[in-house]
Amino acid sequence: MKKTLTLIRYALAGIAFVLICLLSFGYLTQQNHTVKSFLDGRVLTEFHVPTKSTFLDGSWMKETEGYVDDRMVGRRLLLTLHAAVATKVFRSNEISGVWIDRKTGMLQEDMPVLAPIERLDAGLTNLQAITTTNHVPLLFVYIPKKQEAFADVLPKNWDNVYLDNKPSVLAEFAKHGPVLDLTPTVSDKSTRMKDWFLTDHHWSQYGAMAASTAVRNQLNLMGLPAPTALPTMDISTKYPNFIGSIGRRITTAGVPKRDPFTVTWSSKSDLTHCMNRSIHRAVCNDPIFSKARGYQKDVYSNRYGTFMGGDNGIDDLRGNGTGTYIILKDSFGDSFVPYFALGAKRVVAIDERHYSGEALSKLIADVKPNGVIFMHNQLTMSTFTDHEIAAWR
Amino acid sequence: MVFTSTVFFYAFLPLAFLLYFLVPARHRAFPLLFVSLFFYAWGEPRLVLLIMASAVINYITGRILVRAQLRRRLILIIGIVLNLAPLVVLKYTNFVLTLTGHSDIAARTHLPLPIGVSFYTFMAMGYLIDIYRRRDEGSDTFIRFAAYLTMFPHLVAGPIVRWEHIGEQLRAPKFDSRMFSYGAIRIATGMAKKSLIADQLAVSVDKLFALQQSPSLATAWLSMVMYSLQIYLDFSAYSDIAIGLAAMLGVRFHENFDYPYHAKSAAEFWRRWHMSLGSWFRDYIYIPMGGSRVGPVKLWRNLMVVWALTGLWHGAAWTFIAWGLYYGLLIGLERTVYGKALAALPSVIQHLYGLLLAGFGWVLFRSTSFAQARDILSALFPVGSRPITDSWSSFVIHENWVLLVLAIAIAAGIARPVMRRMESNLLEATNQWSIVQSLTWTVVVIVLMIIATAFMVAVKYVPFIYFRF
Repeated sequence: MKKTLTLIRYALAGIAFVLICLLSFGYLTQQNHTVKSFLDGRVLTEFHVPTKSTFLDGSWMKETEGYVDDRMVGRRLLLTLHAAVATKVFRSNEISGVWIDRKTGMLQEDMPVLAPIERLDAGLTNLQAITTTNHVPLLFVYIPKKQEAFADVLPKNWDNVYLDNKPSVLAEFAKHGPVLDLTPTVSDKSTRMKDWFLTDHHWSQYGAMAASTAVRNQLNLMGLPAPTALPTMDISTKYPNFIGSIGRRITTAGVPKRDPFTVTWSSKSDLTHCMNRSIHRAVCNDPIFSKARGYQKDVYSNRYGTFMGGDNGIDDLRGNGTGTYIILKDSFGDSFVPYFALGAKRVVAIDERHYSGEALSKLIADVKPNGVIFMHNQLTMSTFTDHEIAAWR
Repeated sequence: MVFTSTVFFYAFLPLAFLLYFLVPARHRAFPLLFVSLFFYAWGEPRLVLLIMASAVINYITGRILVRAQLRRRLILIIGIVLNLAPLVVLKYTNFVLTLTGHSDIAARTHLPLPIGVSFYTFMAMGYLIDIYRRRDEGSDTFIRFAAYLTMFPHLVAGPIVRWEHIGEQLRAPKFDSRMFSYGAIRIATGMAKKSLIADQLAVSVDKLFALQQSPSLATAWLSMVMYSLQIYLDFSAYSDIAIGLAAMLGVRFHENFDYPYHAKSAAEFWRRWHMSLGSWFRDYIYIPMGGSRVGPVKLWRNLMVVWALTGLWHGAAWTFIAWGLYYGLLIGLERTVYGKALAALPSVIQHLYGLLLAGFGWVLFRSTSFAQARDILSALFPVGSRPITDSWSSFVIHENWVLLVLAIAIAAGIARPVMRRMESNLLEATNQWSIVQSLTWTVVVIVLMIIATAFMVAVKYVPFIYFRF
């Protein structure tokens, strides 16, 4: 007995080490089921038995490493621990590519590599030709990224590729139609903290509302029938605080403040919403705001998807107001479109990444819009595949 | 498979330990060889055949050398050539092609560089040379030799272990409770050193060395200091983990680092830095060439050859060769009146000299070209209109000051007394390992493992951004 105790005394550190490894391994072997992670925004890697070819080409090893990384016991806690150590012990303000403004709680993500805008030229030329042929005005709306709205507070050594590229993007738009740059609208220092989420890369509903007003004004200037001005927002729905896309990269421990999330709406709204349905369908009652998404329990759930239920291939909103428009949009449009459509007659919003319906030229012929609005940000346009560009046919 | 990965610690290692310890001690070379080959195949599924071939060829050559009475030198030469051939072809072909004006062919040539080939090739050559010199009789079984050559603790990044040091240990590596805990402590401290400190330094170092513009004075110094810290903590952490893993398996490796930034001369630096490599070149190249027991001309020849080869071993580029020759020159000078004058200086000046020469060398080592090295080295001195600071230096210091303080403290040896006491109490049979020490170090191991794992997981964490665009 004494000998055993002595053995344990000497071997204890080693035993603890091996036990942790063994227990973690045991846990890993029980995790091979389909899991969609709110934190990761994707289905976590699953384990597959190796085959000769997957072993020899090394793909099985990479996949298994991904499986172990994804399914580590206590992974969320571990990521939170990392963020806590990085911010509170090492006093870093930049972790995992996210810049943390501790005073305001505003998070900014690092700059991507952007593909040249010129590769869209053929598609935009096509778009212009379709709208011209159908005698429908075309308006390009430039959506700034958060790094553009807050360019003055980013670290000086961050090369702001969005600002660097912006002139060429606006020039490319201008080749094909009139341009509205929303940067001044949503980067005003007196309102920008409200116009953007702290922990998400999107603008908030306030930014979306300001943008919808700016677009209305632009349409008026162009002499087009514009939706009426926004009514009073007298309905408020408060959802749980959340951590958005940028905050998920650094978890709760790295986030100084979570985003409060209250969605306001007007009791005078007469809008109906068809989500991912045929435009010829007469009546729809799909919710404009998804309460299911809004009330999801997980703090990392994608609360921005409350707006129109998230990215849909096509959203068709109809009311009794003024103006019919087709909008080619990205996720920024999810919050923009409802507020723009308030006071409109009809707004058909297409998200090219998820749309595979009828050709745009037929859509224009069927919907008979007063105008087509192309509204995207640089990152979306930079990553468009041929599928998205082909949507403008 | 790298050491600081979750798949290594939480998938591979548990299975490796289970297989290893389930088998009686005298047969443990078998599971050790098996798991080591699996470990190697994880990164090189096809090139694992190369290391197996190396094991077979070197074992057979070794047996022949043991028995041969005649033509022993010829057999050794054949063995060396067979070892060097794949290393030279796979590692240096493109360099030679570029050197001989065939850059276009070099650009089209994509030869794989097997993991650890420089390490296991040198181990194998050392094995044959020791047999040739009759210092050792080598291994009597192929399995034991193959286990020695492919042993996963040293496979990726050394240390370059000699057969005379561990050959007998591999005959029947027993479970030793003291070594078991010692190994775990070395592994955990190594994990933390690499994941928390070295890898975090690397983020800033990579950015600093990728700057397109000429650095300010502060940025140049930061680049040098941070890289000096990064490379030491990274490499020594790997050695810590390797030594720890071997200890847990019942095998004792020699140390590979001895606080190199305590050195007061270039010669002393290399007696403390990557000691297994330095001693290899000393014993198998320098001394056979005559070492220091020759006239001045031959001495300089010996130094330049050894140090050029040392540089070349690190990489196929002129900057590596220049880095090696830089040390050859300094070590040669230190053998002259220059060295005597240096030794007469106050200790603190000598220490500063040691730090600076290491730092200058690392700038050359890390730079992708001589032009970049010149740019950074010249920026270290306040000459002309170069700015003292810039946005980069302010940013890096602001973001990393805690990390820097910690890294400097560890490199300076703040933990040395504690680690030495642990080693002494745990490994020396005459000393006691108290319950308090046992519990304390167990807690340290657990805490460091958890924090290091958190950093390992964070490095691999790349969430898909919902509605990213």
